[in-house]
Amino acid sequence: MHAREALPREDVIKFVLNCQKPNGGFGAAPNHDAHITFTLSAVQILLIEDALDKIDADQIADYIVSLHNQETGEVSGDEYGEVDTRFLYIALNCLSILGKLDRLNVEAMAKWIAACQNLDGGFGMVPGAESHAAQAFTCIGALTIAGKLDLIDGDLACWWLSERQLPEGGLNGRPEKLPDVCYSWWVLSCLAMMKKLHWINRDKLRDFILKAQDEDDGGIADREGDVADVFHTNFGLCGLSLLGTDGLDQVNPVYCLPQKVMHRVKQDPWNGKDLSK
Amino acid sequence: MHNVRKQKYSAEQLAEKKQLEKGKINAYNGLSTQVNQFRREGKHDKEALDLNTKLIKINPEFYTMWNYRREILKTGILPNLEDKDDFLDGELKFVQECLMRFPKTYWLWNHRKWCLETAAKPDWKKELAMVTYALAKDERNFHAWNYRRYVLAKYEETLPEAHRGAVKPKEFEFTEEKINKNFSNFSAWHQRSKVIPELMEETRQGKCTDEKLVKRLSDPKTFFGSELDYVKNAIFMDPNDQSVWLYLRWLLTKPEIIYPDISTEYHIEVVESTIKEIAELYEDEKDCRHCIYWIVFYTIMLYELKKQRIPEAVGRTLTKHIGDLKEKDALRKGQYEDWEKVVVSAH
Ligand SMILES: [Zn+2]
Repeated sequence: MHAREALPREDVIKFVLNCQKPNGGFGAAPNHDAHITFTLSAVQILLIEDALDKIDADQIADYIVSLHNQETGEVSGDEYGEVDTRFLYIALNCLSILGKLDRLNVEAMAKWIAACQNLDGGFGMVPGAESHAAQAFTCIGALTIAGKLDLIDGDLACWWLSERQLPEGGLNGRPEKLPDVCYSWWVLSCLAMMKKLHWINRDKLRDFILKAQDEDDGGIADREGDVADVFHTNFGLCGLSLLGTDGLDQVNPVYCLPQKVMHRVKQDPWNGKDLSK
Repeated sequence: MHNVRKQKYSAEQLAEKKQLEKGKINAYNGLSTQVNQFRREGKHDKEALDLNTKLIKINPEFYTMWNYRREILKTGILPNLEDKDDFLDGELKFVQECLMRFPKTYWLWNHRKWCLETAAKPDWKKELAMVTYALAKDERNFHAWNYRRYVLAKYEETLPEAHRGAVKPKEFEFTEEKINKNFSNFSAWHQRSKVIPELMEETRQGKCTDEKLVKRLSDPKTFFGSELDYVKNAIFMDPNDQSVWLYLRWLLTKPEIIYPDISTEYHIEVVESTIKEIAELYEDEKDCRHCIYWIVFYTIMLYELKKQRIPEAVGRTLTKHIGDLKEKDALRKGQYEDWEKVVVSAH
């Protein structure tokens, strides 16, 4: 939103660095244990603030590799953690930012993710699990970074994604569920990666997101009339950006980062180009 | 926040609400400071566990607390107990209570797995019954279905070799039971599509012990036919439900999963008769967009199988159908326009 200065840069960086643990990973806050999810968040924030030089990329890579099974390609969330497509995406995303993709068995990861595609075209959390739109994002995103989109049935995936749009314009996470602004990101980003944004009605979706904005506090809720929160505000804005909205920076559909900082990603498969066009 | 309606408050109400929230936040912060302090001290006793329980009940998303809880249990509690499993059973009940209030919290399901994997003799059969019960109450509970697959695998693993071959056939029957109750239960169709390939493999390896099913599966052509009949019957009952169409698509686009030796001629024959049946259905269900969609889909597929160009007359019908779709399902117009291009360029 061209308002990066709204948050004090030095304080943000200091806070993020305070969340790092001796094992190289980051926790959600200083008192929290390291987890792969927050490790990516930390790296993303530092990238946006152009402060990646403040961290030791090898140490972070070591942490992520410690959660990665080189044989099967699986990645777990932490030492106790479950294996889940979310964490494979995070590992690929994080290490491509740091330019260390060669530390992962990308081939095995791509195969494992492709095995998560189901008969309906969607993706589950693990092979065998039911399809959910958030998992479509992690799987298609991971395969895009890995350069292995050819392993899946893309048309069927996009069919499933486009079926997520409901008559009121919003998108849902799986059949028979209510529409929700956050799926404007999970679903729309996939369609952008597969260059099929035109498979849904963009005007109706834009209206749905705008109606979910709280007129009093400015935030965006999951749908019209609900309480706004940071999560839905972020994904609502990112959705609007993908739909092309004046006044908003372009967002990158794979990384959910502003397009203008993408040149800092060391191994961006798209070389900083906006491929949603 | 998901599904929380916004309410209008007067200034007075707002102040009162803020005061109340402030009290809650202060209490929570005090609690979490204390627990964090305990953790730094390496405190792993009953007192630490109780305080941890209190905190988790308020905020089960504080994942670090689950880690701490496991540390306490592993080092301070379980080693001193004679009957670990009895204690872990209580732990499962605790998770169950939390799940009632926070059914979507991943950390809760993870902790449940940890309890069972830590027990000396985990009762996987009981756990399976728990999931079956959860699915009886909510047949589409997605977390429960996913968890069910994990429990099934564990249950099978711990059975004596001779009994393992009975697990998948039972699951196959379970999907049928769920589908017969409600054809629109996509979770059950999904599960069926996952169990069948596994069953086929077990039958080939001679592991499957259910004689009736072995007989059915050993004749892939008949089994393939019976699956087709089963799902088509469901489609005729309610053509407006997507689940059944998807299962049919799976059978017809990947027939080799069930019927490895299927010939192209037979595949063509089945697709052709399917198109005819859907066309008949469409006569009675003129408003059903799914009927038109799948007629177009299977017709394009048919000519791909035949390795022929789409004849002009057929192409004209398809174009008309696609025009209908664009009208009936305007949201996805762009998708149908792409399709139109394929059909036009193919003939
Ligand atoms: Zn949401």
